[in-house]
Amino acid sequence: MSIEIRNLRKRFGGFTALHGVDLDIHDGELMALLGPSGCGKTTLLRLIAGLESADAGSIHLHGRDVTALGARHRGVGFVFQHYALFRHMNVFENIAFGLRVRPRATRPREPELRQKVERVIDLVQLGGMAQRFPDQLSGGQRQRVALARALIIEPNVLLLDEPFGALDAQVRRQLRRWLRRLHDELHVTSVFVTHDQDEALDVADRIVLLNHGRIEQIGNAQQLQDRPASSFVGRFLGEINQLPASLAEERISLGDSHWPLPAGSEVKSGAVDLCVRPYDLHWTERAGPSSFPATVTDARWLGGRYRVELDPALAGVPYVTAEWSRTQMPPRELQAGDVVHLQPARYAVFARAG
Amino acid sequence: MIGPDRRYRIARSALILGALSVAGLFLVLPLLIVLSGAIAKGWSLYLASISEPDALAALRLTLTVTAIAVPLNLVFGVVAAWCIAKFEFPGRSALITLIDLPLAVSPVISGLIYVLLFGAQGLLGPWLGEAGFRVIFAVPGIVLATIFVTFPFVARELIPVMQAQGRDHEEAALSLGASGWQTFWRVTLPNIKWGLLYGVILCNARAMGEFGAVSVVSGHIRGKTNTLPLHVEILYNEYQHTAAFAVASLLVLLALLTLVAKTWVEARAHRDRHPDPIVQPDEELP
Amino acid sequence: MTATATNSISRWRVSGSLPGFGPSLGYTLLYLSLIVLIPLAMILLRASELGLDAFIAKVSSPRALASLRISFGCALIAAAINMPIGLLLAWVISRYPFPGRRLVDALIDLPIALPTAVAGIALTALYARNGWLGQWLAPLGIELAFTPAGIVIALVFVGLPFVVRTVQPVLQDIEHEQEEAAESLGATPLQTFVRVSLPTIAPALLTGFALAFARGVGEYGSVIFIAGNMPMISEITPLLIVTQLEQYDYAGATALALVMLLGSFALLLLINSLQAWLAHRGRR
Repeated sequence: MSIEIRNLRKRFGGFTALHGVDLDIHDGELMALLGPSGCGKTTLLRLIAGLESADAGSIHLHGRDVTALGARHRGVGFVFQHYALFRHMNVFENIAFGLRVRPRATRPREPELRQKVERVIDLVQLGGMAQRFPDQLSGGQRQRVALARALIIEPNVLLLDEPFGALDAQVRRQLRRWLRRLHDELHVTSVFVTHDQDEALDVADRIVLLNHGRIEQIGNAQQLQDRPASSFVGRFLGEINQLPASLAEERISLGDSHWPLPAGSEVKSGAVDLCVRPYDLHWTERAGPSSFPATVTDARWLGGRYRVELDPALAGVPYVTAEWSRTQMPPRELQAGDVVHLQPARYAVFARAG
Repeated sequence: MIGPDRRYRIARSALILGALSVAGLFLVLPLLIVLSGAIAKGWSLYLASISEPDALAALRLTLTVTAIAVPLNLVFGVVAAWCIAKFEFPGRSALITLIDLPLAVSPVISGLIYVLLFGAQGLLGPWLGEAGFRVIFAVPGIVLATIFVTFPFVARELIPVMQAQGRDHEEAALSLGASGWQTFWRVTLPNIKWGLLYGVILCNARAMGEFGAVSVVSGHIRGKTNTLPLHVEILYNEYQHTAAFAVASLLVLLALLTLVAKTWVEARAHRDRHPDPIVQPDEELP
Repeated sequence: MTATATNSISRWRVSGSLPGFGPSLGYTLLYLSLIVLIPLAMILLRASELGLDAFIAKVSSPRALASLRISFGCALIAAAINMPIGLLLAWVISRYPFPGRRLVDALIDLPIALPTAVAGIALTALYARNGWLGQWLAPLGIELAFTPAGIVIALVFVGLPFVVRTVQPVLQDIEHEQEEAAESLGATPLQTFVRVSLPTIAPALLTGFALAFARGVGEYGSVIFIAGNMPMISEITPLLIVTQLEQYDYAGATALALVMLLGSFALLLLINSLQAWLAHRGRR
């Protein structure tokens, strides 16, 4: 196990950033910490790095208890959101920094140092940029310098805070793929923070979804999307329709329609939210016991799929969204005002919040 | 607290202690010694020292000189900042340097130049003397020297503030039909009020406290051309230390008031620039 | 930058968008000339009447040379002392929350707000042989008041805010993350300070040094009480100018004033280029 976190707590004044977090991260894993702003994901990352000190709990890196160690002694590579490159040093010196500040006994000699730095520069594809200063680099290049600087100390784990946050959309997508390939090459255990679910789904092996300082769910992309552990997870990872239903005797009721309770649901009875992804909300021509009627208010072709907004005439639900591929669409052109019947193909229920 | 930072906190405490010692030694002790020296021989002597006719005359002169110099430099500061900040013209940065010039000149030289101009052996002195008008060793000289040393204070505060604000607001006001004066009073002035006040506070403190320049042109005539700082010097040189510290305590009070006012203006200006954010968390839509 | 400048120049010429350019520039130039430029020109005028030989004779008299050495030398030492203590104060004020921090922050400007004559008598009273501090130093054989060391003390006092106030904004703007990055890469706190923080602060520190130096060279009020004013030993140039004026030696006063002015302008030029460099670095 690369990182073992037990019951980690952190408060800032009156604000509790983390309430007792437990987390295991495997060797060579690429893990995403995902959540809305203020959920505690950056605090968790900084605690792992030793840039903050925990109020309670423990952190083990490769079996070693580092809870009481400062960042300097943890051997952790940290890539800052805005890179925090040393502006008065060129690319070479930025990358060499971690070697130059070593105690004399373990500091490599100049030729060896040069060789190491150049190897890392090649690894992050910055050949020819060694003499440039950070201000003379593009955002993507700075990002790679920051990565190289963290990698040269051969870190136990690599931590990245919003690594793509400060880049524009296109560069972001390229760097995402590149980072994934680099990770596959190096296999250093890595944790990155993001608020962007696409980024997490696209890059990470597993995702930790945090909210209000607690872990909501840990799992891979499919587990999180198809088997959300809470309505928050359902909502956070992509669009979801929440329909106010009631649950009694293993039967979900919405108006005159009924559905069986999915296996593994935690809630047993009472007011629930029936959560259905737009692509799991299919249409049928005819009314049935497991469908409900809705009036089309808007339908548009988004390239590859139709997106339809409908009014289900349910109290508290102004509209639902459905997404259908060309083959799933009704045979006739849908117009605003058409009534169709909607049938949830896959769904989850949670106790109604608030 | 579990954590790596005990040594760090020790170092931090040592640094804070060091800074407090320096501040105590250089900033607090001088204040305390003036105040304690002023009341060393009792309150009655203190009150007598500051209400003695020569001291009152010095106070009156200091206030008079300040009341002339500050408004003149205030008007100049606003006018100069307007043309420098709102317009582009060749030589603009040279003009800014020239306005800052008095800051680089020794106070003694600031007095000297007026002696060279208006003194008995000066360029205009004999001619003015015939007209029966005295500048040097008289109040006009003190006023001029004070204006010189406080010359840049308002302008140099306003220029960056007005430059940062740009011209969009004024152009918008003009396009809405406001006259030039209306634009200035209603749009420009409210935007620069804190910078203006800040400049005036500094200008006022220096005007009341100026010593070197005024000392050269004053002639030290008790009750006539003595300002408060000059009066302090005379008393001190006459070994009337208690009286000197008593009068000096008035100037300490001025300095403390200046610091309070300055801190207050900074806080207000900061608040205007960074208003409390309207709390609007990124809640998800229902 | 150039593009917008040209653009706004042409806009001003074409539409004259804001009113009042002519009158405000005219008033500025008139007032500037009357109060600053014409009086300052008197120094040049008087010095030129003197002739080169007389000028050199006046300036190179042993007493004049000694005073210049003392004024520039003490100002240099004081500015150098102000660098570490100014940095310490700026560092602590901008980095560490502690009770009384705002008070200390406000007090930093005391030397600017306190009339120099008051500072002079206060420092003299502190460091004189029977003063609060002097009485502890005298038995150790250390005499500060009425020696060149006293001049340095007064100039440290007047120069302190210049260093603190120049360094402080840079310290506040510095990315704390750079220091964290250094730490996570294994640097000790000292290595982080020397290799990461100090290079970032250095230009501001140098500017503060130059400002304190420039202020110290011309300082008069706070120095004359504590200096002892012995010719050749502790007599500063501004005092010598005053003495010569009192003896109606206008030529000598003017010649010395010109030398001081040239020195100050050279410093001003240096400071301006330092600040331009600083602003440039900030923009990069």
